[in-house]
Amino acid sequence: MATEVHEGRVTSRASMRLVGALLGFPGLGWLLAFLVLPVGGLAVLAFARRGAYGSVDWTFSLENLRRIAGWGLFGWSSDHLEILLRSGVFAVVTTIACLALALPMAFWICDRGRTARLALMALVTVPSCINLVVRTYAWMLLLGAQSPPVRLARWIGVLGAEQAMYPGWTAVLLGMVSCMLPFAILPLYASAERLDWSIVEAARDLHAGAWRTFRHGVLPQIVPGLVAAVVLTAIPSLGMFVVSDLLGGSRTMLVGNLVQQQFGSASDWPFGAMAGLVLIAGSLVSLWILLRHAGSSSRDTGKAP
Amino acid sequence: MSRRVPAYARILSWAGMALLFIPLLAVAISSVNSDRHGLRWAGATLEWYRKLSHDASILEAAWNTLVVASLSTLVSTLLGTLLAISLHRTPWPRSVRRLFDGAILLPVVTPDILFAVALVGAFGVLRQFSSIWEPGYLTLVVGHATFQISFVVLVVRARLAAIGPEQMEAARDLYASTWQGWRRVLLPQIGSSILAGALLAFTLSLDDFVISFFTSGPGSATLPIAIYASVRRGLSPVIHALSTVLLCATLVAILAASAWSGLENDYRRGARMARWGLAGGALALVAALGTFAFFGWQSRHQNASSAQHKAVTVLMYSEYIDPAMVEEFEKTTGMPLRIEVYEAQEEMVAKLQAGGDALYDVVVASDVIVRQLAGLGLVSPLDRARIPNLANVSPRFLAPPFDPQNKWSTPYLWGTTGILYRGSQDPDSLRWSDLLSEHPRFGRYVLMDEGRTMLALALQALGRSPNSTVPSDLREATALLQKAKARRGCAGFDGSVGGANKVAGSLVDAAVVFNGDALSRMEEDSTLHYGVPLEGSVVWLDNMLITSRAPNRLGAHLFIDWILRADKGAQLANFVRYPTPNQASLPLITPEDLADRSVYPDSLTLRRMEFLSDPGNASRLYDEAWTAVKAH
Repeated sequence: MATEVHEGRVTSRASMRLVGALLGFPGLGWLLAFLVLPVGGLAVLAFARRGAYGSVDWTFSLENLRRIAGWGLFGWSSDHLEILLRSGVFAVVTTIACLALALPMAFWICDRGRTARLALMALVTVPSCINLVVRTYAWMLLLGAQSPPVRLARWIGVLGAEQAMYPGWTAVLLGMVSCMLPFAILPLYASAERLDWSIVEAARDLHAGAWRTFRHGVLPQIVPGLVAAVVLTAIPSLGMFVVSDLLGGSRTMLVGNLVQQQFGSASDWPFGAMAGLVLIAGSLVSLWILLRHAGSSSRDTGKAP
Repeated sequence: MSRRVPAYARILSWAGMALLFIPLLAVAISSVNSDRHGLRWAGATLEWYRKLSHDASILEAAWNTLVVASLSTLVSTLLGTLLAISLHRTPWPRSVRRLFDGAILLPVVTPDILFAVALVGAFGVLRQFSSIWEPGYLTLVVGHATFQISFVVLVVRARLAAIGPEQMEAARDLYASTWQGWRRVLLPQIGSSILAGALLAFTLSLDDFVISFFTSGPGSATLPIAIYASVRRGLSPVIHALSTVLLCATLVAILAASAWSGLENDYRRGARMARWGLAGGALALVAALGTFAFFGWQSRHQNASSAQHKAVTVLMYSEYIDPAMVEEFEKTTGMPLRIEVYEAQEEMVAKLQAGGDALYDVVVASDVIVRQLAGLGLVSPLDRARIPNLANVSPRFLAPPFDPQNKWSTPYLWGTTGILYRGSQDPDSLRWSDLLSEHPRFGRYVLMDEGRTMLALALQALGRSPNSTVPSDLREATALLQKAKARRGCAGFDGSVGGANKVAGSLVDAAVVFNGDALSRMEEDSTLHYGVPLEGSVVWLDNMLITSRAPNRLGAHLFIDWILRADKGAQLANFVRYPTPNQASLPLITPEDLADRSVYPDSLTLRRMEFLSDPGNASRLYDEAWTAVKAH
């Protein structure tokens, strides 16, 4: 039997695995029963067809794959590709905006006294206890043409008399950043708090400018937090449609709308499953790329993520 | 300290805090604003708080939310922590490890709706073995716990990874057993991350709508379900009041906890205080919800004790029945009436498919949906002998094209679709081309965010049947809408309430809306008008149907017959402000409504209107056309 050292004890790999399996079994079994198998079932559903009145016709067909690629009843169109592309851009822009605010916020909070730090971190999570729709609706009221903030903006001259921020992409971005920001701050703060400032000082001693100090002294140390922040903001933004519909006047479609529409008004569950699987696949692939890239960039500095 | 946060970072940080808290401030202000729609300030009031304390259904939803969130957080924290520890210390081969990582990330990357559908499928299979898997508390808790586990694992594992192997080795050197090492060295260090994971899981459960909607049954609806259902009519200020109470409770707890821990200087005690502070925050949230929940439980208890007879459960839109009628029904029949709400028709269909057909008795569904419900076997034929009041229904609404023998459905309320606008134009000379043509007569406008209806209206604008299944017709309608959408004046799409609100708030000049929503805005503002365009429009009829496995069929028939009584039909219409299909009720309708042509259109207008029908196999045509309209 192969013996190795685990947790400072000489033991066999098999016995470690046995204990690991026993500890992990309830959780893994749960995930398997209620998540992996059902989602696997959807992968089968994606290759079925819509029957009469929105029932499922269980005959195998590649039709949905063709459809998502753009071949529809009216011939080929770039609609689906545009929807996917737009969702991607939407997620990237939201994530960048969130990071641009969350990064300074994380360091700003770290810089406070212990009590203030604690209170600020708790405050950041406060908005999550109010429902997303209620918060988004509040933005709608705030940005409406007759609201005091918009009137003030008109009076100052920031907005023209006919101009409104809502509905429009400015409103969507405000709403998205507002609802995703806590998820970017939390992991970044955890990283920033454990930062080894001696490396930053060493960089300064070597006459590095502000940017180079950040790039080589700070950035490699916060990669794990950065990755977590990107995952927690980008992935939900990719499937998001409530905020964009309420604040953007639902002019256009995102992939979240497409999936929702299939399970909703179109009652075409097989195509909905296919569109959803494409979304999952897209998320997993971008995650994989991100993790690989993050792994290699933090290896550069010799520090494990 | 040499950290020195630069000035621009400080400004950005304050901007970030502002983004987080400005909407919360707006929620608090809306909760004391006496304007129902919150569009302008109409004086301070505590009316919404008073209503909140009397709203049994919201209080009960608060109770359910609390129970489900607590139970599922308990389950997921336990399973998630064990799983994280197991993954951390077990030397699995790389491939197995990757597989586990993938399984844990799956809930994070799966869209809610897909996850909900997958769960519905799983519960459907389990129901074959035991009826405890009927939609209700159990399915809700299981559903929530499933997505929570991942987040707990992610948080706890990140902390474990940061600790490193040296500490355990040191403990070993001091002759600690594995158990002692975990108990004394590692667990205390991951304690705060377990708490953080649990808190994250708790808030995720509080906020979840999609999974809750699909897995809940009658009596187990949660707050987000009430909130989403209320959005259709413009978010109720009662919801704002409830949110403000929760917000204040959390803020007070946080301030108290941080003031308390501020008195401590010793680092370790401080860290302990930090944990207590977080726990205190969670506790306060629980306490606030608990207070509501207590009232909810009380009213539920009262309901239960008065339920000598079997209850009748009805699934409908929110605010679609006079609450006074709920009590009257119980007094008349001795059967308690339970109203459960949905946000959209299609979601209601999915809910019935998820096993709801055995839990609800009556469902209120729109015309297009009736054939689908019958086709899917979700509703059962009516026993006409038990509905003598069907004779009260006006011949115009008896035997509609989607149910020619009233085999499945009886009318509930009806209405028209038209244009709400601000201006001096004559409502009788309106045309769809005023909105859709190259030179629209309205400066800014919104179209209806409802594919089937909007395409039907475009078809009528082109002089085609609103139920056309000819591909070339739909291609033309699509092109018409695409061009209208691309024009400068088009401010996008919105639901009927949203569109009416935008006209009332002067954001746009015109919107495509249902007459009931138009009416409530016209009362507040005499410069608003509503008209049905000359090319024709869509008339809609909501219907009552009985589910295929209704637990109380007798009560279901009683309810339908009761609604069709002359006085009840009038009471319903006078409350909801939509026209009644009940001829016998007309003398009891308020004279102003009866004379108002935007409520009861004249026969000439009615002749131009058509019912929508289920497009059957052509539904994909409508779906793809709508995607094409929206995609660009």
